[in-house]
Amino acid sequence: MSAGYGAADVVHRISLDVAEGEIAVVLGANGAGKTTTLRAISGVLARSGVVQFDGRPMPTRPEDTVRVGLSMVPQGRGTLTELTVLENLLVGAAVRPRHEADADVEKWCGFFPVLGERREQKAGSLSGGEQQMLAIARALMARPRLVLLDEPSLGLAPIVVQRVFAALADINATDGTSMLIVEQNADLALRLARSAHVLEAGRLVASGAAADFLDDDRVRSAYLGGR
Amino acid sequence: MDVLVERLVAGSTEGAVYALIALSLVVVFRGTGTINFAQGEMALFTTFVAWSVIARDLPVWVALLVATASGFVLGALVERFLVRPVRKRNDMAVLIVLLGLFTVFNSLDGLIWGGETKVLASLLPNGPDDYVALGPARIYGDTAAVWIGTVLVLIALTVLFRCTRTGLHMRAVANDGEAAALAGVRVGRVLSLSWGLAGAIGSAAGVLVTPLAPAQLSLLTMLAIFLSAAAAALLGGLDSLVGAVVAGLSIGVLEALVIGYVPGVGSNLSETTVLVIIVLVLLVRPQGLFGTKKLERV
Amino acid sequence: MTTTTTPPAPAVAGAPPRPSARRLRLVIGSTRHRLLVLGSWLVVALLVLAATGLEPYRLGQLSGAVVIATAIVGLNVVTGYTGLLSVGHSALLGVGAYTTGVLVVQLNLLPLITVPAAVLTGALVGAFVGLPSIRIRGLYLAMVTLALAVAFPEVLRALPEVTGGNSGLSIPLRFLAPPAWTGLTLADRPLWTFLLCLSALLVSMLLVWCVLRSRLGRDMRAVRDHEAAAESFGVHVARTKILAFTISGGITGLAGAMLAMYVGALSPAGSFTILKAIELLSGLVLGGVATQLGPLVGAAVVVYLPVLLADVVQGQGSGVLFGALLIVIVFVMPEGVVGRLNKLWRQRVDVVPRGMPAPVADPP
Repeated sequence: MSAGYGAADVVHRISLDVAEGEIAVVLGANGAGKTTTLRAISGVLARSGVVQFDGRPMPTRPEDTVRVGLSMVPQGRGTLTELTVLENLLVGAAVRPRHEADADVEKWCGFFPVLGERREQKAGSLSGGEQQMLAIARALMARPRLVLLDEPSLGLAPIVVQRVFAALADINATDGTSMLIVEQNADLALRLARSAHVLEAGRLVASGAAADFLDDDRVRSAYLGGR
Repeated sequence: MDVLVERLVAGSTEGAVYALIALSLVVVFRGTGTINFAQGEMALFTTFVAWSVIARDLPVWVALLVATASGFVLGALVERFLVRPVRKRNDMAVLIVLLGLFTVFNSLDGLIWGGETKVLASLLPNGPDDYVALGPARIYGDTAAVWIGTVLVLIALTVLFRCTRTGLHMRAVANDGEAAALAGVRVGRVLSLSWGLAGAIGSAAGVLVTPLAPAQLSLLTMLAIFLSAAAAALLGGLDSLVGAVVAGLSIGVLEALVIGYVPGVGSNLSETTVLVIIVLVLLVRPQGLFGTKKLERV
Repeated sequence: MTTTTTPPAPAVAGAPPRPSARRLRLVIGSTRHRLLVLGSWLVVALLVLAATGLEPYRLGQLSGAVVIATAIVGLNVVTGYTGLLSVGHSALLGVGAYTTGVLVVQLNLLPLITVPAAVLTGALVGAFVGLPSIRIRGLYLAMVTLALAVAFPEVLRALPEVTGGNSGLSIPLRFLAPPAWTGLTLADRPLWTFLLCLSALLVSMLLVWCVLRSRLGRDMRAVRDHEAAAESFGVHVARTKILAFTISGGITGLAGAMLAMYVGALSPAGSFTILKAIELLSGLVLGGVATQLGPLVGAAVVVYLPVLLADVVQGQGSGVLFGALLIVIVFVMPEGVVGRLNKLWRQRVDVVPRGMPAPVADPP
């Protein structure tokens, strides 16, 4: 798959794979093309090449990719700041029948109690961590089978990042939702994920089991700005 | 005192009309970030359609229905086929397309219905005795129709935006189109719907106001009304429904008071007054009275 | 379950250069280039000479087109080169026209003497209209200028002692006759008017040509293309905008003065409504925004198209057609007629300064 803005491709002919029920992580430095990759898969950006989902071609517009079971949590949360928490969740259920939506609101408000407490508050008034949880919950309201997360740790305090990642692990374990996470926080992401991919200047330079990356000092220093 | 009450009634009636057209401008702006310069002329066109319906001896409410429906279709078509393809290009392209529409509709009215002024029947009985006394002021059928119409549109819009899924999606798109699309909202459909809705509101306003308008039904009916409504929309904050109503009423009453109490300026320079209001709002408080700060206007 | 795979590498070739590629090289200052420039001017001179031989009615029509072209040249300065949308140039045209009209009718001045005054008032009002553009951009500025266009006729009506109110002004014919030193008679008035209007147009185009080559011209385009960047490079954005509006107002005021002399009668409902502003914008877009010859083509279209179509559609029909044409052009030829021609010319001809080495032949 290739994709980019205007005439120039930002990512070139990359190929990666997420297995059912697994969490995969894409690592890479700033400007490596991580965000572009996610936006191309979800249809926000035009792309060339093949993206398949369950053996079928992935639709090319975001409103359609949601309908086949893919949700994306964009960078910088992507919550609807003028709408309340409850309304955000209901918008997330745009592709589901109404009765499911109400049940799911209860489910996720239970899972993220802070959201339950702030139901009628505008999303813009939430803290960064709360907004990230809302964005994740909103994405899950569509009952996706695969969630794309674009730097969920961005701009959050370490303790909050821990909480968000724990929630992701929990959701993956209980619902079996697959996840493709783009991260700069390599350590944490690799601990969460099963497989990992490294992007460098728009090209895929390494793929493998997440655990191998964690152990391999060479890989860490080469691609992750090791310490 | 009598003059004051009479002026207040006249002003708030006029203001209610501004509020209606301003609402249609706001509905469009929230969806596509565009000021629809052709809104007034589109409403004029459907008002002429309504006149044709009445001329076939059909009741006024049927004409209102036909005009509103055609306004909806017209608005949705314009968004889908004329505005959407050029919206991402630049402001100039949008402006030219809308001014092209302005010219097309204005000339089309003249071509089909001729230049001479027509009288449009009022929705409610409007004879010399059909009035309700409000203190010293008499509220005739045409005035009452405007008031009732405005209240009904306001209630309908509030219900739509607060209580329905479609309204929720419209607000989501207004807030952040990309995030809404990622949640599965069909953004294109919502935008066409917004323009359709705006077209319908504008058309209804046209039919209700024309019996009261100084120019009656002529090619010039909507120009002044559109200008005042645009001023109201800007003053209220282009993305605020409440703002549109409050500002519409305020400008209507202000104009009426100026006409009543400032001899010479009032009736002769009402459009100039509106120009001054527009410039002042944009310079002093570009986000309007109720708009959100994010409006990047300056 | 998700596979994102690459198709079996199709040989991705970059867009191949146009096969036509037999480009003509034109060296500035070469004999060929000089001949071409000379030839163009000769054609222009012949055209003008041919025009003066037209029957008076046709010549009058042509003068009308020349006046509109001048006004569009003025509009082009702000909307084309500085990127500030104006739907209010009908008012600037009116300011110039009424300056001449009022001075002639009320003070019995000779029309020619009033021309500098018309330019000056046009420039002043232009600068005043430009003030909001410092803070207001895009469609909002269009809204302000549109309100100006709508309000202008109302202002004229509100000052009946000066402007003649609703019925307007009419300039007595004796003022419009060619002056004695020209050797022309009253019967030659169309010719005299045409020559005046033509001079005004040429002066305006020359002025714009000079402005574009000056620092101000560069600043204007910088403001249009990227205001924030222009500012960071030290462009005085506010001053640039005001100056652009001032020059534009002056040129449009000049066009107004010519209009007053060509029509001889002015009224609020006549040439100064919002429809005139839309007509000017239409001409600009049709001819080619930010091109120097676009205003000529645009003016020719907006003046002659309704005449040509008069047999098919009348009055309001031409308005419908115009609006439709305007929308169509945005879709199929957004760069306008002259913009398109320029593009074609650049595809086929290289104009290079003298002393540039010939390009190395493309590698196979």
